[in-house]
Amino acid sequence: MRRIMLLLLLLGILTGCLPVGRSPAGPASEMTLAVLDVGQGLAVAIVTPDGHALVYDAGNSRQDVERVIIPFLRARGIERLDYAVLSHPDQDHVGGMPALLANFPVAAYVDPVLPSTNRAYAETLRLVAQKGIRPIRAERGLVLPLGEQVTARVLWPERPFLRAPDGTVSDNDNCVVLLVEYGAMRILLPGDLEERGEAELVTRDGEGLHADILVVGHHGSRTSSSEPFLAAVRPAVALISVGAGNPYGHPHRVTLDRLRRAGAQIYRTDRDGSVLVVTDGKQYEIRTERTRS
Amino acid sequence: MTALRLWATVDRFEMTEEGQELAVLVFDDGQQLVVPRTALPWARRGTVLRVTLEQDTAAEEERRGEIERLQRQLFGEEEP
Repeated sequence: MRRIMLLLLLLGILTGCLPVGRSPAGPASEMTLAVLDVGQGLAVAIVTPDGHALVYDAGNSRQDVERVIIPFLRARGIERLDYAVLSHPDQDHVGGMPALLANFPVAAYVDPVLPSTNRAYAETLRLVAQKGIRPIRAERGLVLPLGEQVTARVLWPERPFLRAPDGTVSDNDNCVVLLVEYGAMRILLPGDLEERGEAELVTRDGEGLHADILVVGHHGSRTSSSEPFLAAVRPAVALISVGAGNPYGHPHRVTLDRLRRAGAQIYRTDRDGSVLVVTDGKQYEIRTERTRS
Repeated sequence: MTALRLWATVDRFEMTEEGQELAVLVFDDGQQLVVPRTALPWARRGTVLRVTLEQDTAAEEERRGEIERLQRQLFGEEEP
């Protein structure tokens, strides 16, 4: 009987019908981190047990904000963000930021302050100024408290910025990397950080990069999730934000292979829809918008 | 300066919920670009467009400058 139960549990986990990990204690102590399904872009929302909230990137467009991000927050009773964090000013991360700032109260805006000519980014900065939102320059060592129990630590970028061989500042390799900590749970959000930036982080933090959950860098591109980085992070679960049929072939097969070799169970928004990590700081479970067939 | 040339076909016209007419341009590799129909008043379904991309350094400098000004205003000067 016990063997049958174990088999059923394993089958449930493999098909995505059951949560992975052990259930947290209950709603009163739960933090939710959601990798929201915004197609080929990134938007992550964090809601703490005591009602604080952070959004890390805002997808591609106003539609992502109106149809996905704000409804997710409102459904959890959130009426104000403690922080809106921009990892870097590429359209698939900043495109929805103006709509978020225009339509949802935000206390502080966190930015790596990278060179850019992106129009949505210019509009984002104009809105921060117009609305009196507190601007915070993201730098390694900065800690963003999220209520009493949750913190988001900025692991990257560091000054001076990393530069490409042609001397230009690389936006991906200088993007904001967050480590979210709640009790014993650690969740790493590396944005679009690529191999060079990952190597810098491994040099500085080594085993200290360990995280239970990794929101996979750069939508699963082969230019991110290098083996030394994954060896340091050692994620049990890898969440990939990726659009179905995207023209870049994300997530790349070599990245999926590296993640599997690292022992991570993979979830991806193109197949699972929005993916939620629900945790009480000790245990966690993964909830997917769509049931795996 | 080299200019990249692409071809797109006016695939169809669509209307938004608000009643705005849009032209859907499909490039030869399948990528789509949606523009207001008023931008192409002479176009009909099946019109083939040659699209030329050119660098606009003046617009680039203007945008870069505006963003740098806003960044200084919000975040202060970058430490050396």
